[in-house]
Amino acid sequence: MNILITGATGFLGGYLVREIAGDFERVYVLSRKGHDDGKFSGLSNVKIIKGDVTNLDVLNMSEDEKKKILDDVDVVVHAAALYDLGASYTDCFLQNVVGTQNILHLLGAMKKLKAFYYISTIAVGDTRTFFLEEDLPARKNFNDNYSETKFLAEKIVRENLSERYVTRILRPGIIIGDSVTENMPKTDGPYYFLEAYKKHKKLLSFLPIALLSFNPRAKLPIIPVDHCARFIALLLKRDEKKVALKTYHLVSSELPTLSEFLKDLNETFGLKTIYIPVKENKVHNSLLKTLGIPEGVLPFMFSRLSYDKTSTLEDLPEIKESTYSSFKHILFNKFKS
Amino acid sequence: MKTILSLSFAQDQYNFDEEIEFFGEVYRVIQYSTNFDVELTIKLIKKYDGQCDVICISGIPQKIKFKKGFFLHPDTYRLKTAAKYTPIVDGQIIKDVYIPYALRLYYLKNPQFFNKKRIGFYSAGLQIPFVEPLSEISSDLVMADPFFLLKMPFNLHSAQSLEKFVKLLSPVLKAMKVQKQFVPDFDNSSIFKSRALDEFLSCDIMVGNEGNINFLSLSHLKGKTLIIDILSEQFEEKLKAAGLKEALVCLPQLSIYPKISYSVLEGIVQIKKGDGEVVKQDDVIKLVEEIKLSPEIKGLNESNDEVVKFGFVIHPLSSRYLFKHPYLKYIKDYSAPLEKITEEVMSYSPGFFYGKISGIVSLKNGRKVEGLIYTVTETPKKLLEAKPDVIYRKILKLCEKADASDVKIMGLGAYTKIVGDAGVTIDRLSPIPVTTGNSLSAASTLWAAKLAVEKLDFVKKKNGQFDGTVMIVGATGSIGAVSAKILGMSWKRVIIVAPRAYKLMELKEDILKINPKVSVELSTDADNFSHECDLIITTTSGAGKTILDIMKVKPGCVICDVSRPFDIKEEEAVKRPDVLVIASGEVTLPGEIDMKMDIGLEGNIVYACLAETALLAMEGKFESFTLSRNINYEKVIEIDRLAREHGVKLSQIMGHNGFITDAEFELCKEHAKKKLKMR
Repeated sequence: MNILITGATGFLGGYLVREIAGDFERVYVLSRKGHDDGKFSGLSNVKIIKGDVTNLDVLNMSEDEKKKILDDVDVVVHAAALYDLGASYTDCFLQNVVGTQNILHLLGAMKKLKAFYYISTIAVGDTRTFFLEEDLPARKNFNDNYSETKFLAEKIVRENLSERYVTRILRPGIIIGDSVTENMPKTDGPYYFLEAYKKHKKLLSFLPIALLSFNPRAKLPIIPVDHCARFIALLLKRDEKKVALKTYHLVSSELPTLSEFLKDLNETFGLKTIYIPVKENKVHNSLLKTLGIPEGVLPFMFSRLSYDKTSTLEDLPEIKESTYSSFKHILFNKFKS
Repeated sequence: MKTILSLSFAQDQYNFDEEIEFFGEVYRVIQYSTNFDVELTIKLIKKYDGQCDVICISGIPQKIKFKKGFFLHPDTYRLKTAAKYTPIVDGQIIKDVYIPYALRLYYLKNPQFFNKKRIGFYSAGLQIPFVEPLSEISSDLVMADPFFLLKMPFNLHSAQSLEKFVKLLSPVLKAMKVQKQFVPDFDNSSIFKSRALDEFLSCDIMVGNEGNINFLSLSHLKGKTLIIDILSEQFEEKLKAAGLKEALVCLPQLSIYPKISYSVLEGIVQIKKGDGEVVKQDDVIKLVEEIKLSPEIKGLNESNDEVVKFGFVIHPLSSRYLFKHPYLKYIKDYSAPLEKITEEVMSYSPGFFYGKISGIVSLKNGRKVEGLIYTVTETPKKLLEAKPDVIYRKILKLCEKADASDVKIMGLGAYTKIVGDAGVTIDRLSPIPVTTGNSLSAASTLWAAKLAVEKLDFVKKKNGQFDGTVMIVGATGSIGAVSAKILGMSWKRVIIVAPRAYKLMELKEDILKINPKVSVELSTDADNFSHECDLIITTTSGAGKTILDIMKVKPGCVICDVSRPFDIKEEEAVKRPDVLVIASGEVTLPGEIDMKMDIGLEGNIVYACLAETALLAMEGKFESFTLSRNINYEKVIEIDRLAREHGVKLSQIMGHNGFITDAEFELCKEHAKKKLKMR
């Protein structure tokens, strides 16, 4: 079995290639540059191919070479996306929507293809409802360009199911660092809070009580990057490729509520602040923004969303072991004084 | 395979990449909805410039051409010039050529569609190909451009004022970005509506496209008609949910290619032309002919349960009938000495709603029809004495009343259609189309006459032609002339009688043009020939004057008295049991008729002119079908066909005292035979 992965040079993609390299005969890694900067140098079956998902002709090579690869691929994982809450709509659209549509067109030319894995995000769902795995409810309002364009991309994937191959949509939660190395290359999700606390620790220490606009019962949908990559690899291995479409919510179990998370924050920074939740309002939202917490994170502060994980628990019972208490050190160790 | 990049500027969340077969060729069409995002659209154009064969942009503001110069939004210019290698098309050439053609084509086939309708443009500037043809068809145009583009509370009403508006405000319009945030609210439930918005929302027909309307509140479209260039499946659903009655779609053929828009179609033409060639109007003409494009009406919320209403104006047949008025019915028993004064006084009273005929159901399409009967208060005598203006005003008031009750067409009964110019002025000033009903009156007269002559069986047929003589008294009148022309085709000898000889001579020529073999004779006095005739049709407006001496009539003759009041009085008819006097012109309507009023006829029987109005309502042909004194015999033939299709039939032949039974026919025949023997 051979696999083609897009977005392998990204954070999750890199982990994924290393996780699955042993399970596949050949691993084609699509790269805009045509090389991996030595990222996968130890993996002999990884073959870097030059291409760009935003081009009509995704694979940048001769027709013969192209045909050879297209005829060779059994599984495609499309993980390439622009994940940047501050990116422009144009850039997000080009990478996420156009990229996905071009990949779907490329799948049409793959004769042996058996499965298509599309890496979506939990952010495509409306944060006010119970989010079913098999569903993508219509949505018009988005908080950031990333969520909007990922929503459009998943819509395209759902509208283009094929009888020739099965489609799997994976919606990871907010990806945090490696549970072993604690490595996290960028600030994201809960890290914004950690950075903000680090910066304003002194100020916060004078605040015995803080009015904060948040929902104390909102859960933070997080998952460590290595856990996420491992679960995807397990799915790839176990997939019987019988059901045409399956969707998985890849978020860890026993997720922390915002109260729990704030408690851990206090503990990490030696604070005793009591947080009084107030309703979502512009004043407090802008206060959070001045602390350095971007708008894209805000919906998770008030989220009433709960995630359906029926398929995930069925096919990935191991996800139960990925609990907050078992990996919270990834977040806080670095910041402990 | 050729690749088409379609950028839908005014759509959101509608992206696809599909291979589409169009007239034998397969194209890869990649569409992205860019939701008014100019930067994204330009980025996509630049990204795919040189990678695809044509770039098609839809939903951008198009060029507005004037006599001198044009207006082009800078964003449109930026978008259309963003590519260096791949040609960019926006469907404008196809729209410029095809839309005026489609609208005119539809208008010529269905003039009633636009009849007396107010047409509203959300933005005529953005719908420029529609403006010229619709300006030619209707003068009642409302262009909401000032509100749509700049939220200004006034409307434009002509292409000239649109040109002035766009020229004057072009610096402002050019400075505006094209985005949906500027789209104003067309919500008809809002209490803060300007007079201009009210005027726009009162339009019967709206003109817009998906790009204009998609982001508006659609509740104001309930029960309206929309003219639209192209109708996608999703948008059709949306309009249906909003309660839109029907849509006139200019390019319905593309509904089987739901992913091809005007711009993609132009893109295909561009690909066929090849690199370096520009699409020209001639290419579009060729395309229209090749794939036989034509517009189509699409009913979205029409059901047979909806009752179509027609109106009909009658008048009291004599002063005696005045006592059927609700206020006067109590003194009916003492009416005799009061008749004259009542007739005088009542003529000052306005017309009123008299009653309803319900339960009419067409046999052809199952459409339910209801008739609202209005009456003026003048007797025939008063109608003929009064100045036409006075009567017009009275009838027009009733037409306005009917329009307010959702009546779609108005019929003029008996003498109300004789007044003045026989309906022409009333039709011109009425808010709803008006018909005199004379076409069906003529047709039903001929049905009845033919049947009566056949039943008496004194005239033999030779080669499908009656070998006898027919006389038409009042032949230069509306029904008389048509009867003469039609009977001229099936009778050997025709005598036409009317007071003005010169008019008769004209009519004779017309009859001879239709059937040169018929013998036509003229007279100004019916009595000169009455003794030779087998069938006499009287259709005068003599208002009770004796126009024919029945005593001179040939035994076994059928006199078909179409006039109301009758030309042949009952007491005269009784004197000649050997002559059959029939009062034709009455028919029955299809369905279980419920008529809770007295219109001077029995049971379900109605006047033929009323039935014509009902027929037009059943057919949905809301047009001024018969007007003026000269009715067209082609119209008579058309209404005859419609009557057969919808189930309007000749009632049993009527005489002065109700139905003429078969026994009465036999009795008359016996008397006639005896009299002929005595001769």
